[in-house]
Amino acid sequence: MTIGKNQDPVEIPRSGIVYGDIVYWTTIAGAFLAIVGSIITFVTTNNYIDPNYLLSSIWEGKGVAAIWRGVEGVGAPPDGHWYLGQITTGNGLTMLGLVLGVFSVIPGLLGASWILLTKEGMPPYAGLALVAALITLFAMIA
Amino acid sequence: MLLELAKRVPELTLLILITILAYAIMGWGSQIAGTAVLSADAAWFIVVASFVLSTGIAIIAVLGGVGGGVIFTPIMLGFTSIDTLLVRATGLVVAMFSGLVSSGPFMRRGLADIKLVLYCSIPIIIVAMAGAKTAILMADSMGETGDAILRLLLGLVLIFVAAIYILGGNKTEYPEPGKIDGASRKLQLRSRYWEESLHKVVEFHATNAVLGGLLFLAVGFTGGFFGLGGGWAIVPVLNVVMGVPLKVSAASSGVLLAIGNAAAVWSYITKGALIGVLAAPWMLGQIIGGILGAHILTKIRAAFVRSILIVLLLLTSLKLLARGVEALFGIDIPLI
Repeated sequence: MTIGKNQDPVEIPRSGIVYGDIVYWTTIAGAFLAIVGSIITFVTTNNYIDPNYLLSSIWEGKGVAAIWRGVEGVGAPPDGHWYLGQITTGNGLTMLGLVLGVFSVIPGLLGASWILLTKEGMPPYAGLALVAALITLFAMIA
Repeated sequence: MLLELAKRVPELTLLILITILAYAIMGWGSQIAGTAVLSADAAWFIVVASFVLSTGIAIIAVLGGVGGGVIFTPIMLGFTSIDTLLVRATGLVVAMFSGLVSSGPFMRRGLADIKLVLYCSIPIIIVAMAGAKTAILMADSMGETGDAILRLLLGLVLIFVAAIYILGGNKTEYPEPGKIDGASRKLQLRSRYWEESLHKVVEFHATNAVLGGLLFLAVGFTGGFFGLGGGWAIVPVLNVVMGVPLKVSAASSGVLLAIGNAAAVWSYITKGALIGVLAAPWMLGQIIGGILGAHILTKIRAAFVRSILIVLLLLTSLKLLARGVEALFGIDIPLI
């Protein structure tokens, strides 16, 4: 490791900037969706699950299965991306915001992989980024 | 400094203002009636308190590169009666969102290195899943005794790592790896960044890539096994074993944690274990605290990061040792 004595310009790898920027802006977009979803959850009655019931059940220490079993018209924990069918409700929109942040890793890694392969000439690292993206994608859809 | 940051990062200012406005609207126009368990005011207070606590945790977690889960989970399990599965699912959100949002500032400043992150992420992602599956199998075959012994061993390992940071002094801030091995040279694990606190460019070349890779397999396994996320061990492996400067290790660790946890959190989402009304304030706090922490890390001296890391490692080890002794000897240690 060397600590330089001058102020040499530091060239930052473009793949890193692409990954960081995609993840950063997608996560912030997710945060805005979650804020709007939280407002709808609290100040309207347009909810998939009654927040009154939800908060009390969580605070009471009920398990996941017990909470979902008690939801009117649902009766069982979901098995899949349940919020996609509920994005006009407060609960659905809040979850979509959260999920958008988690999802941001996949396009971020794919973008970095493309730059590593085509602009920076580093196929092994492009491969690693692609593998990481595919594992995360598999976890999302499996 | 905060005023300068507000001007330089307008999206952060906007996010903070909108969040404050949102919580004011939620308090003023709340349709939540309250129940015997939780009054309407208490429900609003819990949401706002979660957000404030999460922001503080995120700043500390980003500076130490450990991920907020290490702080969040003991607090929630110690002070609330919330179901452990809900705590673990929300804990993953806490562990990953500060890392996600700090990826932007860290990558733009070269403080986190994409090659280092990608090299280390694959073993962590894959083996963390194996660790989680083994934990389920071991719980059936060895029960709580095996789990307690492993917790004790992990606690001792963390004390050992903290001792390295204490005894190593400032050598760990900008380590001199000496000879660079062939594998690290072939992998081109080198980079340079502008060190704001020194007003100088710092160049480094990571070494011991093979040993580092093997240790990341162990880190991923124990992270998945104990549900700790692995943040406590990523910085020591990058810094002490691979010779990466401490601030780069802390920054890369946060980015790595975000990638590693992104795969794990989907199973909680699809099974309904991640509940928006509980997780959203923690997510927002992690995002705002994560951006603040990322900008603070570029300015502060590495010695401060080392101090934070030592405290976090000792606190985590204390918790692990206490839980191990509790389970082995059936005694109750009144420790958070």
